[in-house]
Amino acid sequence: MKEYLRFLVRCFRVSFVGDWRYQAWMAGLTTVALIGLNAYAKQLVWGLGATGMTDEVSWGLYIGNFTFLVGMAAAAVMLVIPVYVYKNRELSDLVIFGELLAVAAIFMCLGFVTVDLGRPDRFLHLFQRFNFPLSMLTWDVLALNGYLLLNLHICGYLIYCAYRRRKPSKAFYVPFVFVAIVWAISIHTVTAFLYVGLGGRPFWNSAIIAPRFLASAFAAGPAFLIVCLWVLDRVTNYEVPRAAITTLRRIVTVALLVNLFLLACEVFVEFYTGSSHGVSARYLFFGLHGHTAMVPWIWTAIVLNTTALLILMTPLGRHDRGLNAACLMMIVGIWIEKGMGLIVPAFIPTPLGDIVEYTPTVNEILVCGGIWAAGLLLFTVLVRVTIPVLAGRLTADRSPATDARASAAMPPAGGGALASNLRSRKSLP
Amino acid sequence: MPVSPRSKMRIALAGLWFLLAGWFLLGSSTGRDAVLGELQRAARVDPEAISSEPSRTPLTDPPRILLGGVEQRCSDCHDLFSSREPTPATLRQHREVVLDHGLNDRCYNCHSNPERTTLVLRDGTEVPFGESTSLCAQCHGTVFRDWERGMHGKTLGSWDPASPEFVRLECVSCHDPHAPAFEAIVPLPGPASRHAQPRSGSER
Amino acid sequence: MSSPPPDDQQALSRRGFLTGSAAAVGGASAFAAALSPLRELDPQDLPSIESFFQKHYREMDAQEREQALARIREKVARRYEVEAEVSDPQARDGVEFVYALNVSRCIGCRKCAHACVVENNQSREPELQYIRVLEMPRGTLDVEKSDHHYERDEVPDPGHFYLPVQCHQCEDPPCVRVCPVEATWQEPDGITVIDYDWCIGCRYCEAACPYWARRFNYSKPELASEDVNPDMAYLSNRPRPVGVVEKCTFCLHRTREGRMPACLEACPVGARKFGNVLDPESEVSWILRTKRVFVLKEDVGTLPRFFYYFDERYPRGGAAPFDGGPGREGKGEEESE
Repeated sequence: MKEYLRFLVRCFRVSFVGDWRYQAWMAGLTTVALIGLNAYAKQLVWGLGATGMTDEVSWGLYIGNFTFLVGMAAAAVMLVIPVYVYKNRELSDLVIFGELLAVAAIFMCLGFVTVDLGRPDRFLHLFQRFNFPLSMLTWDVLALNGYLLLNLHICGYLIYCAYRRRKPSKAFYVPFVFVAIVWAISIHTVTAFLYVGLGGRPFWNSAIIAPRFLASAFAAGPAFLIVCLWVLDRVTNYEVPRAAITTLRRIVTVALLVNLFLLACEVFVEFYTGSSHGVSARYLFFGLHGHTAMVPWIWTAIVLNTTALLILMTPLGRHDRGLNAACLMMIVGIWIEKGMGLIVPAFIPTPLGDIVEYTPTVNEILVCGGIWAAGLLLFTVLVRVTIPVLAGRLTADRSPATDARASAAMPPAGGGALASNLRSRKSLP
Repeated sequence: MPVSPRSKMRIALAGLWFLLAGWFLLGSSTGRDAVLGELQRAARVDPEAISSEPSRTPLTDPPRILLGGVEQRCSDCHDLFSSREPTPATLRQHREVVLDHGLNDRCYNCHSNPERTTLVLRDGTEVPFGESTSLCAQCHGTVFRDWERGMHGKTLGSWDPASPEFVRLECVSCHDPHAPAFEAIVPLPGPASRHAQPRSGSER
Repeated sequence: MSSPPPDDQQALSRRGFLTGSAAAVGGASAFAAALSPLRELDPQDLPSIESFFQKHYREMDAQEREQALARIREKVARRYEVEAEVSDPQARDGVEFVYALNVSRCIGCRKCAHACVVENNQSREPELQYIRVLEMPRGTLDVEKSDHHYERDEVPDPGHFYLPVQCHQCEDPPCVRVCPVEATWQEPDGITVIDYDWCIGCRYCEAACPYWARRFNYSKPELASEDVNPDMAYLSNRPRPVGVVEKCTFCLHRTREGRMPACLEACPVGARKFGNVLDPESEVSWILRTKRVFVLKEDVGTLPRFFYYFDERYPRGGAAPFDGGPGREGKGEEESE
């Protein structure tokens, strides 16, 4: 126990250490996070009136980001399945990054849900009268927190074992990994059901929403990882195996293809059948009675996603630059599609046919930025700590001083140690 | 002693944090109007316009009317003058009466002659002013049927027919018997969402 | 922390320590300053210990309920200097409330909507209304073709009919189902209520309602002292705090005492009917038995207790020529604004 606390303290110290790029990145994120906190403090004082939400459009940017990030969290499974189910060797080094991303993403999800609450001071009421299983929101609370715990356990256990130079005992994490696979699918399915289950919102009344969620998640999540790994490859001397990137690229390509296919299915049903249920979709894609706020957004998303797909399917995608551009495009594209494109139009027109558009306020955007920055900060710290631990440079038997110094210059040791340490995961059943 | 790069970095960070703190404290406005922007204010409505009182005060027995600003009983005049059947064209005394009741355009269809303090049914039965509904029922059968069950008209006091407070308003509490159709009225203001400026809600 | 490593002496030198603490203090002060807007919080709005630990309405015993009512009385007295009559009327046995609205009679004057605001202590800034009156073109019941913002010199307009919508008090209410903390529920007399002291403000119910009947307090509801209606109940029109959802309760503080809802009393044409559907002699029972009754959006399957009906009748001033379907002129005019 004492040893574990010492481990946490050392991790905490290491997270402050790095070269100027690291420091600048962290300082920048902290600044944005603090600005967000400041904006949230204002919202706490004056209420959600500080946002652009209204009774007409009662969910906005917060829930949109939440939905997108649930997908990012679920995307870890796209690395876990190949490694644990299909024994893919290239990706096994990288699974842990996927899981860390999941932790950070869930952290942001919880942040976005919290800032969306009118009375966060009453969150304890959840523990006192929990409307389970009737309310899909309670399912989501369980799913998200369960997924957070699962990933914290898996990552924490593996990292701590590496720290103690112990071989991880499979019984302690492999079963959890398989539970987490199912759980990852479930968090996104449950989140989709959150919306799909509302009979009064025809725009969401589509069985295809859950699969669409998953497809877009499996595209955006690994895309985000590709970009992260590229950055890691550049700024640390941790060498990302090429083969792993290739595998991730294939995953992303297929997922994006499926996502666009499902979007096309949705668009067909909404427009070809021509029923009045398609009115929100009409608003989204073409505008309604002169109200066109969403139109540029959704078309931007479509263009970005299609371009990304074209890049990925041509030789352009084999180059770092092309691949990264495609990944960034699809992250933005899917963020729009799921945030602005899926949440907001369901409220326009209202169930009584009134059209009130939604524009987020500056304060609201700052709060969103703050949560994103805090989440990225967490992700950076997690990765920052994980790399030296798994590379064997930060271990229990080394004096705490050396880790501070060793990591100060950002890993001088080769990636070989990391690889060999990560191998412990490869010797799987 | 030279300043180590690490110290430089820390000094820069400290500077950044203090700058940020200063901006939070001085630069960003936190007041209600700054954060919420202009709110939509509810329209003030004349309490009279939404009063629960019946829209008309029907005549009670014995009927009195205002003539030339003086409250008078029917007999004050009608005891003196003969009671020839007037038509709207020949009606000279009751000028304020606008007769717009369809085919029912004869005074003595409803008013008793010569006994002006009562009304009269088609079969000659005299009914007091307070029971005028039975008069209306002669022609408006289906509406009367609905009214009896509470499907037409307005009930005040209680929703429970067994309650002593339960009051079903008579026809003339809402309808002018001389011109029973409701007049069109000015609607009260609509929801404020489009009257006010769109909320900016941003800083400053 | 453990002893400093020999080669880190430099870092722990006096200057290193100074700069390190400067950065730490700077960080802490930036954090504190970021939270500084909280100083604007009105101490009166902060929950007291008792109200923070107040139980869910349905878990309170008689004494706890009394205390909760007393707290509301105190708060109203402090904030509005009004002595309020805060009651907690319970559902009566053998009563299930139903509303019926005569579409043939409604003239779209919006008196109901404004009377409701006055009766239920709704926020005046920002404006908050439970009732929305829809102006419908003839030939459709599709609310998407409605106009909420009609401004006319006179109503009714012969080319339209009017459809006031408020909470339908559904028998299978989706809003109740989705609430994660059971802050809203259906009472035995069919009224769906909210415990404003329990709601966490997630607005899931607002998204779930097919009739757009719920409202959220995006900012602290502002109500002038002279506008306060002192006749209040815990579950209906007591002043609401910021950040919670509220809705029409069929004026339960009135109706559970046998009185009529405020919207009905304000209706100048008797289009609104209210009563106990379990009483076969009640007005609403007669309407449901004999009139041409329909509910709005029957397809969402929530079984509303709010019925619309019409009777055999010519429109005022003779029949307006039917223009062949729902015209969009009303909407079109607004677009150009």
